[in-house]
Amino acid sequence: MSNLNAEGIDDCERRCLEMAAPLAERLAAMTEGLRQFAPKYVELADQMAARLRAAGTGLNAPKVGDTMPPFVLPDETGRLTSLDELSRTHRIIIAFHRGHWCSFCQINADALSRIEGRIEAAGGRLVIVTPEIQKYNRRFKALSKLRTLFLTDLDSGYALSLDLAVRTTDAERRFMTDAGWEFSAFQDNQNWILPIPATFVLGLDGRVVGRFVDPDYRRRMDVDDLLAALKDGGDPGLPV
Amino acid sequence: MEIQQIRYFLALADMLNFTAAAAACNVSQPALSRAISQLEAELGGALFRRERKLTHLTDFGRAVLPSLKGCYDSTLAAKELARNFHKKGHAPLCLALSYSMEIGLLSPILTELGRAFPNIEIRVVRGSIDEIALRMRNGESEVAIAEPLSDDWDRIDARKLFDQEFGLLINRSHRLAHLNRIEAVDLADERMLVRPNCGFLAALQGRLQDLGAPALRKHEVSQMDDVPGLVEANLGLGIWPVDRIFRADLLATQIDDFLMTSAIQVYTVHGRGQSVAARTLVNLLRSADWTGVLGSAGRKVGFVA
Repeated sequence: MSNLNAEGIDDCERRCLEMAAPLAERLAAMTEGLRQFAPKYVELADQMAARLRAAGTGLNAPKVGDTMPPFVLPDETGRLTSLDELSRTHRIIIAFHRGHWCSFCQINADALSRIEGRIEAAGGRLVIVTPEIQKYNRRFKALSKLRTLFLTDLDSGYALSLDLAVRTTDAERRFMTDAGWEFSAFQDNQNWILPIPATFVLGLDGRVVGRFVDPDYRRRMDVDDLLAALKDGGDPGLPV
Repeated sequence: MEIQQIRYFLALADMLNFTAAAAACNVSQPALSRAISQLEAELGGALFRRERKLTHLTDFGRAVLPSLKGCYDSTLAAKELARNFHKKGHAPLCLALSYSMEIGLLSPILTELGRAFPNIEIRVVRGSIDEIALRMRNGESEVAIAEPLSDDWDRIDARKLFDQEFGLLINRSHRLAHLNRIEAVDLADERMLVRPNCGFLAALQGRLQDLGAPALRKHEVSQMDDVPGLVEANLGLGIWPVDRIFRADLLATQIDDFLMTSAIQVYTVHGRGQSVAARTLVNLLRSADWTGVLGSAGRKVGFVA
């Protein structure tokens, strides 16, 4: 792709991953880097966000007070993990990510890894959900330095049930293919469907106590908001 | 995308009639039309061409149909799994495996399946690729794992899992066991132990012919498991999956300039309702990290202590 400077993007991504700043600032710095090194990408991201916002994508995702629908998904080692079982001992935070290839997801996961200890201290447990198969979830986990589970939502089945699944356009696909991302390998399908990277904080009763849903994948839940929702959300004691 | 929008889209794509699709989905026609329009806005293109009496899928509609169907089916399957997880319901599952598929590779996945469905009843059937194709056609097996099937039935859905690598199985007293590396030309005049219609043998013969070397001779063995015993008896060289556990007194090695690999795929049949256990098995197989299996590609010689 002529208007793409891969080295510039890599440098920017590295800088954003190492940056000691609030998550929103790091994500904004990534967007600025892309504006410089791959302007077409930012144009496509703006169009995608506008299109999805106009279509109301994500409006029907679980809201505060709703019970989170159950899931059973394999983690990065292939073990089936159910929300019911996780919820028995912890307040769960479910963070949908697009995949290991996405700079914004990497920055988001890195920000979460910096507060993982505080989440656990507050009786919480984070799980990352992506549409990618175990090989790539393992890679993502290693990149992120997170200790927690990376779950495979194959073919975005769970994401679709939450109104979070979106299909990329031809222009977006062309760009991603030119960037060298092999989605059919990452997801083991030819569907070109991605989740909106939403975050849900659940109480001990499995109800949503905090959430962030935005069709613009460059915007993610602020980690302080996440910790606040976790602390407010229900009784701090574990169930007997 | 909303699950209802996709449900309406799939019904309309099937019936090509707004009134009939609305009735089938149990909604009013304006509600169905509105949902389709919203989906079109989100996807960024028209899915249907609406003419007075006729409705057609556009090229764009045809292009997105398989991916939306795949995503929709996986949502239904995900809900069904969440409902049935750890439940005690009877879950029969017939799994067909080709002779060369090492069942040990499946044990972590079968462990998960057993945990998910405590009352699962698995029947494992081994067969040649022809027998497996027939079993799938006849509905005798829900899921099969094998090399590419000879049958090109269009209802068979195949997904590649990994490449299975084959090598030679050699008696340690054989002259080839003392070579540091084995090349195709070293096999000239040897006798091979092969299964009927072995594709590797034909390819290897071609290679030797190109090299001007004498042709291979063969023994035919219908059961894979009989190969090691015949190698032990010094009757010939086996063609053997390098990942399969073999006997300590035999040596497995690759041919340096002639790699033998075969895609291992998982098969199901379109349009046949799959049980939740079968669907879960396929999803676990597809999600699994087979890098460990592929990781043996650099290995030249293998011993089992």
